[in-house]
Amino acid sequence: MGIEMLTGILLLCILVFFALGAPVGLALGGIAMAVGYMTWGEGIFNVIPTTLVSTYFSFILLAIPLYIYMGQLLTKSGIGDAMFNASQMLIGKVRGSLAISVIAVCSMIGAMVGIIGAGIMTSGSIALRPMLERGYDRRMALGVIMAGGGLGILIPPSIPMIMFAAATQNSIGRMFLGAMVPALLMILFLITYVVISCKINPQKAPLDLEQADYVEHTPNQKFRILRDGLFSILLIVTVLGSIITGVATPTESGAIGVVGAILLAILFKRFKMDMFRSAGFQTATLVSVAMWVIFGASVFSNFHLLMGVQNMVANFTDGLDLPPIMIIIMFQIIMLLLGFIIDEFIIVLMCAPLFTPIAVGLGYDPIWFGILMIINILIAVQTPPYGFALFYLKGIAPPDVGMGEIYKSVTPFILLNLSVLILCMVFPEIILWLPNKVMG
Amino acid sequence: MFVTLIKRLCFCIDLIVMLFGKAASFLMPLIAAIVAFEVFSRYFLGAPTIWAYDLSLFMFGYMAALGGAYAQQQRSHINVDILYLRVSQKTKCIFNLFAFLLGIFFLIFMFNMGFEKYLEAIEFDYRRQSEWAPPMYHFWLMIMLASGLFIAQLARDILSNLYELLTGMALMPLKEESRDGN
Repeated sequence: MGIEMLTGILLLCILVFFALGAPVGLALGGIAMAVGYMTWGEGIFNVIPTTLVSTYFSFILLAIPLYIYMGQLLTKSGIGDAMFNASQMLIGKVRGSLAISVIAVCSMIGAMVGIIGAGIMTSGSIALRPMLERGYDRRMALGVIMAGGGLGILIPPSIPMIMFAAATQNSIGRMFLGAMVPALLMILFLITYVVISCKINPQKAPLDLEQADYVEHTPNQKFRILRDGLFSILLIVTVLGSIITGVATPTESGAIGVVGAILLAILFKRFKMDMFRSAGFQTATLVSVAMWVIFGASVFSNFHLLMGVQNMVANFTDGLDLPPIMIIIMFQIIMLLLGFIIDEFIIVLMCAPLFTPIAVGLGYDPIWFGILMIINILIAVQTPPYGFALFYLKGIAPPDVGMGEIYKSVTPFILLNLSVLILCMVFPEIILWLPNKVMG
Repeated sequence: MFVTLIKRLCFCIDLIVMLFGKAASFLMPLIAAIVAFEVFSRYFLGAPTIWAYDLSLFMFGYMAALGGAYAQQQRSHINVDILYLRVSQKTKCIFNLFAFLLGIFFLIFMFNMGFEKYLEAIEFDYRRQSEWAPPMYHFWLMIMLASGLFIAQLARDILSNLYELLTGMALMPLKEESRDGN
């Protein structure tokens, strides 16, 4: 059987079992082993132990539980509220300030949590109610939560970036640095949009000062809010700083972050044994889910690579005889379409080992390609009608918000994100400048 | 009588899987502590440890693999639910049967490979290739345990789905309801 035929069968099986709602990791592994047994024979089962060793003994992937743990500890200890209050105090007099704070704070929370779904859920639970209570336009409120929460995977430390680096043997430090400028650009775009649209329609975003029950903070309160917010940002800077300066590996910086988060929780007088236990428990479940997906998807892609899919894709792209940039655009469109149905982990795990070598072969930088992939996934998962992040947003929205309203609320933000993707594609320097400057 | 027996069996499997799942989660703070200690030891005690690297990786593997069955019990595993959420409860049960059977198929091979590797590791005394060189055999034992627990959990879910298909009632109504919580 040719590799084309084999790929066709594999894709068909995936389609069927995904539609049945099968657990993704087991389904991918099972399909690969079943098809492999029929075409290759018993030898194929050796893929299982080699993949087990390569996924479970990867020090890079060990960063995943540590970052998730840090995020859980931080959000459970109320650091999100602390940052939210601090930024509200600083810019509270600007129209739309609450929406701006949401973008800034939610992207930080999203970054710490590292997974889009969890990012949106956490951000939504902190920020949605205050906005609606103060009479913000619903679409604006939902849109910024999605935009902020989704931004999390582009801001280091991000789990999909760690996966990309692990799957393609690239430096995580470089990935993190490469994501910085595009992330800032995206935040800038989003905030500009919020400010302008609030200027045009002031009723979209009432000011705190216009509220009947508005009370000024006492200096003492102000000091505490500012201190809490500052410490929270300091922790993020420490974690990233320790990676960039080379004091610690990305994995170790995750552990530093965990210790820092515990210290902060104690400092904020929010540390409870109960919270500590439930954070560990939730982390373990999330990690287990992530690792079973990574394991299953790696079994699948190792088998598929063994069968020579790399050559097939390379021959196919060669045969198209397109200019290199068109091929990159084609990859982007494929990933965008995939993002409508499957989530960020699986796209990275399946596409990174397949597409990246080809992009590198065409003379592109793997870090550039990786960041494009992350931005692309960020957009795909929130694109109507099926981007899966939309359903998370629906889950936290007030019950009378329909899917149509959700679509309308996210559209302007998606267009902004898309413009950043195109900018980064046209001007690779936006991504590559910082890592080249810092790491040479 | 037969139904009671099945219920008891399901109850036992739920309990064992949950115990292992919860026990595995206690490794998380330990992993963080070990990795953090490695950094501390390198900068403040003047020498890196030889054991932190392998030990943290082993614990990571134990936590991630052993939690799989419990995540299935909680229905936390990632799936694509575009179609799944729109079909009737009965169709869901049929979907589950196919999906879980494929899962069991994969896990059986995982279990077998774990066993083969375990025997190899014992026979040739395989160790991690590091200065500390801890033995590998227990990792493969753990893989057998993890896939075995997962198989048991999936088999239990297949049983309860079959029961629901045949009788139209949930096998253990209370248990199913409490699934979205911890």
